[in-house]
Amino acid sequence: MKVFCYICLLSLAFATASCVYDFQPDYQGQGGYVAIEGDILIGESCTFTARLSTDLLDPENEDVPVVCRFRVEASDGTVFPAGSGGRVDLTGADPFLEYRLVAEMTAPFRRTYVSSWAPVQISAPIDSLFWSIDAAESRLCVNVSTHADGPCGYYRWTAHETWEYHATYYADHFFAFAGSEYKGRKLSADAIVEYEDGENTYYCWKDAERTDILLAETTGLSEDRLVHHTLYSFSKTDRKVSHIYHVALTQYRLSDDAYRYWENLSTNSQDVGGLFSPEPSELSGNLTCLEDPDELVLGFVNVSTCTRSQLFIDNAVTRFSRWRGPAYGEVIPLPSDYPKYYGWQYRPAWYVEGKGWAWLPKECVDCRTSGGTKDRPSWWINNDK
Amino acid sequence: MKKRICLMLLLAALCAALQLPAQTLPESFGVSKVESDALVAFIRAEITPEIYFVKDPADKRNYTVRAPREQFLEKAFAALREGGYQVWQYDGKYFVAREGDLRPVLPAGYFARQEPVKPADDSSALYQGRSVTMTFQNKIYEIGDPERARRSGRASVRGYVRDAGTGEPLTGVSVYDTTGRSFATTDAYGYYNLSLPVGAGVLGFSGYGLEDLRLDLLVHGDGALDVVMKEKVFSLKGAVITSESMSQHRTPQMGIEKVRINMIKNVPVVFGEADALKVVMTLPGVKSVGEASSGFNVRGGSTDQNLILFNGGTIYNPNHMFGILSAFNTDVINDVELYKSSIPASYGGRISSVLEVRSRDGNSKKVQGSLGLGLLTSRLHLEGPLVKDRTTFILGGRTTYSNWLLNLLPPNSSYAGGKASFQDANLGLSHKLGERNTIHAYGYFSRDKFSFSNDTTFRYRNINGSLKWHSIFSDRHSMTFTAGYDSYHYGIEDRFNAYTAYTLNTAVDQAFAKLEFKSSVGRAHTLSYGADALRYDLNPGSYHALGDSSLVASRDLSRERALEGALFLSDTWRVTDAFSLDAGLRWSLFYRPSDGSRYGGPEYRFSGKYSFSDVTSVKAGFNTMRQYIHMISNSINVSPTDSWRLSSAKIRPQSGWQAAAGFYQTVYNNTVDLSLEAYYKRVLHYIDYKSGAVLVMNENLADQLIETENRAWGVELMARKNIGKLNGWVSYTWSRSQLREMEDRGTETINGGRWYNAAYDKPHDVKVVANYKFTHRYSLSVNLDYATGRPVTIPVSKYVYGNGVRLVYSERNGYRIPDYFRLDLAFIVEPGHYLRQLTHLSLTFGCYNVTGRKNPYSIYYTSDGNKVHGHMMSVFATQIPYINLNLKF
Repeated sequence: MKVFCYICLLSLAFATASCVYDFQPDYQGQGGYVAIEGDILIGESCTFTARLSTDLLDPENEDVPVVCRFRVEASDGTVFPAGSGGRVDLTGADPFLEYRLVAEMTAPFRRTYVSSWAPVQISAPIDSLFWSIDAAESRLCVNVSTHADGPCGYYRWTAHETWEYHATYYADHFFAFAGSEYKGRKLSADAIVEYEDGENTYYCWKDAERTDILLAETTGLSEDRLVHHTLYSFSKTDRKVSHIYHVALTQYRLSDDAYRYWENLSTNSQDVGGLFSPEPSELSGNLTCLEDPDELVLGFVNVSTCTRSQLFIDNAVTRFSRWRGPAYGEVIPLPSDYPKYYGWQYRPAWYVEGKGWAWLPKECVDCRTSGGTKDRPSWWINNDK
Repeated sequence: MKKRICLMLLLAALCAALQLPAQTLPESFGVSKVESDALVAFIRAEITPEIYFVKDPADKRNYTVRAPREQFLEKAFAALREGGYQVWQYDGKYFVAREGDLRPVLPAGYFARQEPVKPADDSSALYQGRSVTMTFQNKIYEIGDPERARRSGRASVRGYVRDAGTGEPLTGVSVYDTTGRSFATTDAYGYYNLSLPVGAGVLGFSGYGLEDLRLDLLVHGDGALDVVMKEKVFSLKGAVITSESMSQHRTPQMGIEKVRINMIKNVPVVFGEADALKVVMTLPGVKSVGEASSGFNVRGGSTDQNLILFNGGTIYNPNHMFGILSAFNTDVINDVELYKSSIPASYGGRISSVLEVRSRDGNSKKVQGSLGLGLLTSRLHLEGPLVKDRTTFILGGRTTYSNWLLNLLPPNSSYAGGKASFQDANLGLSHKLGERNTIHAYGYFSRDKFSFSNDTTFRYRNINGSLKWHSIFSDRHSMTFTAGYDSYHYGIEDRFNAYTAYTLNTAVDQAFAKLEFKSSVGRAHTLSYGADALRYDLNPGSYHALGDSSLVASRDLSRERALEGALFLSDTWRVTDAFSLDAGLRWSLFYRPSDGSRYGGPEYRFSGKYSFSDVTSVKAGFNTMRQYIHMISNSINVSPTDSWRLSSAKIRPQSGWQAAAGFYQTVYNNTVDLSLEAYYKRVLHYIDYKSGAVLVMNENLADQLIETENRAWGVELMARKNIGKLNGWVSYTWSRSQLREMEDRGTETINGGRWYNAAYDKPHDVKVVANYKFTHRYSLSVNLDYATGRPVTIPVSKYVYGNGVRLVYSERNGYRIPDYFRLDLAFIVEPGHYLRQLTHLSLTFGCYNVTGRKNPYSIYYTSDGNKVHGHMMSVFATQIPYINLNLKF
């Protein structure tokens, strides 16, 4: 990817034209492949799901769950059935056995999928999880260090991110329509009223699982040790790190086959189309359909333990973010024009002495417009609310 | 006694004018201490142009002639007579030569000869006593010893053809008996050898960009005839026939494309950098996967199935700047020849084609050079004699300053730290050891370095050195011995993380030697035989820690060493004038001592030709090939990270065959060659890789590879015009190329074991390369390229997995990207032909992709986790104007 963009940019030097365009090819897609997701995590409670893939060109059906009965089988014959929502409790499972997943698809499909037996990969503890700024001062990196005493191996991480972000401007008043309730009484007319204590649309929180595939291997190293391994990074304009960012990282040890599977998945979805990109190809996972062994089953069930760590990144410390929200305001007198402004998605923000209320686009004063909520996690590091 | 006659055609006009002494003042009209040819040039310039002169090569005498203008001629002739020359006057013209060098009378007994000269021929006018302008062309040259003349039968005539101005050997010049019975082409040394009937005849010489030459001969027996030919300076019409169209109807070989440097320089290319490989890609049957790709596919073959030879040495990576430019400096290249069907038995080791790039010999008369400035590169070349007429050199170098382009990128671009640079240098030395032996030494060096950030640097370099000894034993036997060393090294340095910082290096080193003999046996057979040997020494991977804190475990894969050798023999048999056959056998052997693997066997080369007339022929051919070295790549383009590996006990050699047939017709007064060639081709054991294969630093690479078979077929139509105001070619190709995995690996088998399209399968392909000369200084070049879009593998299905949306890929190469179309234009201003001007400046203004079409290079999908996005990537999505300056001195 890097290579092609570089070359394209050469031509950009001559004329401002982009080299990557949106494109929707005209062809018949195909859905209906079964994808089974979930790792057997010894000592944890883990969740399994089954889905059907959908036609690539079908914008509607992004996610088609399939009802399955899951169970995890151990090599000593122990069976761990799934409870509701495909949840299997493996807290007491023996890490010295081999395990496999069995998924029975209920009517009308009546198919059984099994993963190959696999021993438990023991995940190393996370030595440290920390941030850094790269030499060019253009990226804020989230890094991990980990090591184990055994042979070199393969790592995968999942990251749950939570971040606090702010609206561009703090509005101490808001617009209330006639008939709405304010401080225990109904307003008789439209009014701009002051927020009650602690209420605001300035502080918001948002959370999401990282969608990129985070992998590393130590097989080329002299010991099973990752030092300062960069998991992912942020640009200066990324809103996630504009104030306070938190990541809860889970580390898994992968088998060799599992690593190849995830690596291929990563290549196929993230590293294609460039001048020197590898040709995409489908790599089978470790799941087989007992009724039809030739059926392509998507997914790989890795058997491992997992380790966790977490990190807060405060922009007041990093001084990295350059995120700037929209900044445009207009002072207009009330009451003549406010319904129009309200309809235009403007909101009052503050009073300008002698002039009137400053109205700003909604997204400047209401952080919820960017998808976040006012649900502050109970464990959050500061007192913003 | 064999007699050698050396012709010096109008040479003086070009060279000597520049050698005029500065002190030619009106009151002391004359010359001081100049050689005879300069004296004659002075006469020609100042007194009468109608003076013709044959210089005695042994004449090193200096002449000083000073006299008033009206008496000058008399004095000069007196001085020349003193120098041993004779002066004749005929029809107001003067002829100066040694006694015996010029015979303005017919030889004794001429009319008694059995084979009279045909009166229809223009040159025969002299014999009929008509008043004609006498030039050296209508002198009669006697070949062989008249005392021992045969009365009938045939004699062998051989010699060198050189450029009149520079003394360089001229390659590919057609030498033919104008009765149409004998035909030869000069080889890389300008040497020809052909069999002529004893008696009088007319020998024609024609070559691209050269003035046609016809010489009257009187052949008594075997003999030598060296010829100099003049570059066609401004004559744009009236050329008679070209060597290419001649050879098309005379030789049984087919599928050979030759491009001269003149044409290479005219074809507009991206950033205006004249590029031999890019021009090769405009030929029918040659395709590439996309722009900015120097890897090319010949008749449905893969990129590693092309043998790229530069002066006999193998170039493993012919690219600069990831494929934007090729590694060949056009200032030193003479021509490029591509064998895509009838590969001579003396070549082997690759399945699909041989691309032979030859550099020029230096000017043997004077030192000259050129300086070129382009948007991306600047070039300098120098050439000249080290010992006049004996030892010459040619030196060329290029460097890039492309970083200024990168610096135009916005500072917040993630590629702003990117850098790319390259250099290359060529050296050619040529030394004549007497009349029959020539030694050439060639050196080539190129290096590339590029990075996209401060952390990762890619480097590669080619080094090639070779020595070539060409020896003519007799009129019928010659030998060429070549030995050399080729080296290609590639490396990555990654410093992104000090704890995992590494260097990764791979290398191909090879030593080679080749001995080839050519012999004429009887009148009808020309044999070529010999042997070649190649010793491979490959480093498939060295992975080392970089810096003290790196935890990388340094590791070296075992070096791969092997020997490849071959014996070859081929015979071109002229059965009748119309029918000829070419049959060759190459027995190749491969031995890898480390695992004891041995491969080898015969390779057959057959081709035949039948001419219905001088302008209509049909040909057919069949050949088999073997290949023991393979490029391991998982990308469709030639990527700098691709590594080469040898066949082993587990990796079988590739083998293949091709059958082809063609129809050739020359039309429009012998100016346009039409050709139609059809082929079918099969290749076995072509290497592909398993899904998720680890190709880098893998000791057990063979386990990651799979074998596929390739079938390709197609029809190529071409119209080519080499001469005239408008020249160039138009071609249309319809072709297919498909692959199939040879082994059944169940669900893992690519496409379930069915045939699938190769990534370079582009069925319809139209190419137009044309140059129109308005005058001898101004010309317009057009390059048009249309092709069906190439196949790509695209996803068919999507699903949520690992917190994001992922893609399911289906049939390999099952979808085609939109068709490709590009039009390039260039306007070329050549320098004026002022002989006294010290420097000549040529200018090229051009525009690549005039229509600004956003040609897709690839179609692909990415997932940002939540959504799947379809993209189309264009490499050059806009017009790219350029200007190029070239200064000759």
